Amino acid sequence: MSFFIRAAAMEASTLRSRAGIDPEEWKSLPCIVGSSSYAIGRVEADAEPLLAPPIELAHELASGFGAAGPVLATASACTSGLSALQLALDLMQAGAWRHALVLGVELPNRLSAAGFASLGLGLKLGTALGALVVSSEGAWRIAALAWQTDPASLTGIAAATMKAAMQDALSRSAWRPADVGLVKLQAESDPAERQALASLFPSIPKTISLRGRIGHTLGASGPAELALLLGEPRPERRILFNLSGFGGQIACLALERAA
Amino acid sequence: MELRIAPAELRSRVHARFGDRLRRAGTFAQLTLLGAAACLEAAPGSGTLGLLWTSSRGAFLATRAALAELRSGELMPYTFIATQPHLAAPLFAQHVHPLARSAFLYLEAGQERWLDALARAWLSKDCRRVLLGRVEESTAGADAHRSDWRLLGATSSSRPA
Repeated sequence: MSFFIRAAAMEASTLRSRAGIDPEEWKSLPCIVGSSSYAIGRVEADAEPLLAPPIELAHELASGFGAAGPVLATASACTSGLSALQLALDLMQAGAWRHALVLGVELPNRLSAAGFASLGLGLKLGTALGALVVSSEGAWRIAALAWQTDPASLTGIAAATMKAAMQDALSRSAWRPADVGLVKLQAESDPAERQALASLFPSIPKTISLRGRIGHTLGASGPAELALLLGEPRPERRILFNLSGFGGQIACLALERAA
Repeated sequence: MELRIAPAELRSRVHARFGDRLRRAGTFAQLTLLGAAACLEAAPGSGTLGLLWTSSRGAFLATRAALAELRSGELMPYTFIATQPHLAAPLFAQHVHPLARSAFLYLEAGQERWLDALARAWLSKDCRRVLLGRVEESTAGADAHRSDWRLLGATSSSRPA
């Protein structure tokens, strides 16, 4: 069974309009939220911060989108939004859901910036809310979502691991390297990613990086960058979408324009 | 497998099972590994493994400590790392058993059916066995930490005693 990104946007009304789902069905839409920091920014300045369970923010967001179905929340640092997408695909493949709302969110907070600084990672961070509707039909077919973990490092991904993720995505999609029209880079200038591309593709396809536009939006990155990428006209038919995260994970999403 | 560990005993329990290898991991990761490893080791079997677990507040103690350090102007890297609950999965893969799949979820109490639904989905394609857990740190000194686990197999399941 194939699943599709039916709509992608960075705010609710645009998403609903693009998705074109019956309003009654929308009300029962299940929602999975991914974030690395949830609502931490709301309390971090307090002397005695009251840390609410993160699922409360997930419910708040689902409600803001008018979705009153089941609400789940996940966290896997920078890949949180794509982890949410993966869990939605798992449950749809199992027949539990017909459509799913997938949100990636990163709200303003100082802890993430200070945390990455403490690790010596000088990232330009951003905040975002990215939203996807995943369905059995839509404009972009999810040909594969492949994951690899680099056991050697929490904060960097080796070229071989990145290559393995892209190879796995190509293999699951039954694509050849020459079929890929565009690669959305994990980062603008990641030497390991460049090395992986050079070793996998006889001729490197066109590449695009979106961090220059919105910064690194951590757990929101997947849905937010997909909303940017698919929210404008794209001439390419097949796209690889790379995203790596703290913890040594890399995800490679293979997207194909629906016939 | 239901572990109840008094906060004062956690360090010695972790050391007894893992030596010094988890000394920099936060409480949440330590509880996850202790419980999941005990459950896995209590059940015979082999094959690809998934790790799927939930918590209402996740790495609450590390997050509280990180916010205190942030306010003092000196956030330490290992405190920040410990705020990320999913990092227990790569530690488990490194120190206990390789993982074919892993996911951490925040769920409300009573919503565990979604863990079971995901586990069944994983068992149908990626995993022969899935460890399902709920880990809750004690936020009051007198209460015990909780780390409750069960192992589902492709053809059978085991429930907590």
